[in-house]
Amino acid sequence: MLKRNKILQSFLEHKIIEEKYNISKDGLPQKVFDAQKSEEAIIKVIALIIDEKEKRLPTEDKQLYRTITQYLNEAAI
Amino acid sequence: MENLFRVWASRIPKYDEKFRDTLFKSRANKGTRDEDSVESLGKHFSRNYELYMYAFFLGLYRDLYVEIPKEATKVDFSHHIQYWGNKSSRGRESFSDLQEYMFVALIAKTDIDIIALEKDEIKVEKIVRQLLDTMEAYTNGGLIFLQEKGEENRHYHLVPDAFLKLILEAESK
Amino acid sequence: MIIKKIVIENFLCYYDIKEFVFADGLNIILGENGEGKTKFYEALVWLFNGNIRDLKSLISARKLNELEESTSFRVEVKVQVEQHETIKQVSRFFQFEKKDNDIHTYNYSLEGIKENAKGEREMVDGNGLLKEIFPSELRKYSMFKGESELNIFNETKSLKNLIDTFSFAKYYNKYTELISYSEKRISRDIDKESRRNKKQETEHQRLKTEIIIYEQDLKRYKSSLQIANSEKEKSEKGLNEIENNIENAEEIKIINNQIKEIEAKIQRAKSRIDENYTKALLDEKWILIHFEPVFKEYNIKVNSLSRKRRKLQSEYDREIGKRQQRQETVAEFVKEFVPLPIETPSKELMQEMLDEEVCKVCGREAPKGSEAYNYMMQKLEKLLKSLSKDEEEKEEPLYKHDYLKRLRSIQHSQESNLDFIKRINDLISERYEFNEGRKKEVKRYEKRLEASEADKIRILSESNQSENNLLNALNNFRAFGKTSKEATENITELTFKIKGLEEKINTKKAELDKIDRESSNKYLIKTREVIRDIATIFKDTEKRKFNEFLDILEEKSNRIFSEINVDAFTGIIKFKLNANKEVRIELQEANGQLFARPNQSLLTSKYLSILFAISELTKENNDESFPMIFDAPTSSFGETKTAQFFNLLNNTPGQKILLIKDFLVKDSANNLAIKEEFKKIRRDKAIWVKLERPFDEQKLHTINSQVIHL
Repeated sequence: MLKRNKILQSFLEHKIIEEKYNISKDGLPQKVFDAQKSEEAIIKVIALIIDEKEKRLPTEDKQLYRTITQYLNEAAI
Repeated sequence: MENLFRVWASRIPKYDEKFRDTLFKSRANKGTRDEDSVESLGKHFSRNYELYMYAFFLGLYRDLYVEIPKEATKVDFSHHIQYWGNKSSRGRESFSDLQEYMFVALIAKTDIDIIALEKDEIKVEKIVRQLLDTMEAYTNGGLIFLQEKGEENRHYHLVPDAFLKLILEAESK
Repeated sequence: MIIKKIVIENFLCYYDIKEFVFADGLNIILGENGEGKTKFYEALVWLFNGNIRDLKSLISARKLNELEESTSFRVEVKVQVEQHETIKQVSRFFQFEKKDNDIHTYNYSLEGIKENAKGEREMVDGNGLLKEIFPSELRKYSMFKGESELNIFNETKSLKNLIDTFSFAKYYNKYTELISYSEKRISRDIDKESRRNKKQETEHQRLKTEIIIYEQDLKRYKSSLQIANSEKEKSEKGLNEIENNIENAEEIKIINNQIKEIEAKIQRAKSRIDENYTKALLDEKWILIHFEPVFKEYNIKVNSLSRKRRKLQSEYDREIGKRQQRQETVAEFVKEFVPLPIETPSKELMQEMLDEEVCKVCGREAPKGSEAYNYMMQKLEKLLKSLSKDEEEKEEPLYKHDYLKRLRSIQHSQESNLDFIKRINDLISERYEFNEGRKKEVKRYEKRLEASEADKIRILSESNQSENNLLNALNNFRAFGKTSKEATENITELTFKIKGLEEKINTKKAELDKIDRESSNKYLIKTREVIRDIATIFKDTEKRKFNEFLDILEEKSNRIFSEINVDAFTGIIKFKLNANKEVRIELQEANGQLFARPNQSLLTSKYLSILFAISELTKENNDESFPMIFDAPTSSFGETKTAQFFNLLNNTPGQKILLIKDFLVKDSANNLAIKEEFKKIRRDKAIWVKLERPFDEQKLHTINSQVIHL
């Protein structure tokens, strides 16, 4: 569990999150579990990827790509 | 306002197909695989229309008015004059002034009947066609000149000011 | 994990059963050359890795000699460790017997024994247990034979291994892979969608082909650049070595700095040369240089057209006037000359002139009532009339269009550019002069460069090396110098080309994006943008983690390095990441320059420092430390340094097993004894391996290494 959250945090530290998406550092979720409920599509997708990739049996890239795009396409509407 | 310039600029002038492989493919850099042309020749003109404009002025100054032969196939590079040197797409200086100068030269050099046009006795299409004919004829003259220059000396273009010199020398002609 | 005991049976020089008992901390095994140190190390390697050679050749010669027909014995190496408060044991063994005067081996196996929760011993899979007690990727950084083997990091591959083993960066790799895949997929999906739009397909295809071609070129250039870079590196290293090798190295350094400076100046002067004359023809409008006569021609034409137009208009007006008995006044003053266009001067200006009773066109007074005043009045009236959309006018106008107006406005707007056109000649001359100036500058610097290089060769030749050496060095020096110079030029050119190509590719990609945006599903585009951003995040993060790891490793290594080399050397170990994402280790002097000729002792301490750093990292990462086993790692160390090294070993946590030949002395009767100094060495355990006397080196069956716990 610890590793998942550390990975999430290391991703969210990236300056794109603040500079391009205007998400302030204070509002960032600390846990993958919380991030999956975020209203920001980019955070939610990152959390989703971590969740899938850190499973005991990680989802395959092909399948995960489909999940990501499906979610993002819906979010874009 | 009735604007001949705008109508003319919305057109695409043509050139003799025989120059496509010999001049346009080698001088203007269009992603050809030929090592030599990309490396040394392509430096001179990065777009087809740049070579076209150059040949036009060259033909104009040297008074090389040579119509494209009737039997020749005319081709173009599907780029409207008004977009030539469009600033936004290139990060270089805009050519809109040069477009106007070309137009000025065409008006000066073409025997057109503006009065008849204003009286509606002839169509604007006809005038613009005449202007394009002049443009193509001077360009054709310029291209022939470049072609001959290349046949005379295959490496003339390898010095950086080759094309500038040709323009500077044109005055005495 | 701690090694408690190693038992060796009938293995090479170890006849019958020999036990080594170890403690946590520093264990020192002393041994004269050829008396069993290295065979002990080999026994461990065999235990961990298996087949090092043919089984028969492992059997103790003495045992073999004693072997009677139809008797059997075993060869075994067994390690007993304590890990997480559990005793575990792995042994590799086989049996051998003599039959019909021939030796047969059988029963070769690897066996594991582990205590279970109840403290009962049970058999487990030997391979599995081996992996559990001492993972092979860690063993690689824990066991070393001799100084030369320490050198594992000279291969970039083993450094990559190291990073994969210890760094967190590896956790991020799968994210980078996923997102790279997604990036490719979404672009492909968008492609497909775009291609559905027939009209744009050709353009799309053309752009894609162009991009592919450019990218192929780019790839080619990049690999050439890589080659050039490594050539440069190699030749510079060569140069460095030669220079450090001769006398007057200081002077050479000064000259090198001069050369560097001059080269930078040449570079700067070259970069200022702008010989893109063809581009200037268009971008800076030099091409207009002979345009003035053309422009005059245009003016004449437009003026005369304008005149003709007005003349025709006034004739027409007169015609109408006569016909309608109207506008006599107008007709009156149009008969003599072609008047100015009706809208010139403007309504406001006309009113102003009338108010002030002055004609501002000819600059004369026009008092009320004068002819001029009346003329102006009439002209104004006429203008007003023309402006007031005379609806009752039934006559059709002469002209349906006014194209001339725009031609006249071009005339006015370009008039001001005539000054510029007149100056073009000067501008061109200025550019030529400027470029010539820079070229002269380059020539001047190049002369100075030559002089400095000649100086350098002179100094090299004055150095008092043997003639042969010197000639060799000089030849190499020239060759390296030439290669380095050519490579530098290549690099400059390639970098320039690569930059240009990258710009082109970006432009093309932007054009492609534009088509995508226009033709493709908006949602997909938005999705792609997010995916691209996530890709940036993932890739950057992996790189960052990678660098963080290198930083930690560098910091730890240097701390240990300075402890081994107290006061002796002030340089530092640098982990360098090159463009191909490969790590290299460099030894730098305090001023940041490459330390060209480190001696063996310095190299050894460098490697040991890194190994200890790795050991520390292992402990931090795994919450467990593993023993480090070195066979004669410090033969090049002097006494002081060896002492410092032992000190360090004592002060770092974890188990160490060190095999050395120091501290032994032969007395007058050729008997071995341990030096007094050894007592001063702090250690947790000491063992002496020593051949049983007497023995005959030539007769292997007389050989038996004894293990003496001190």
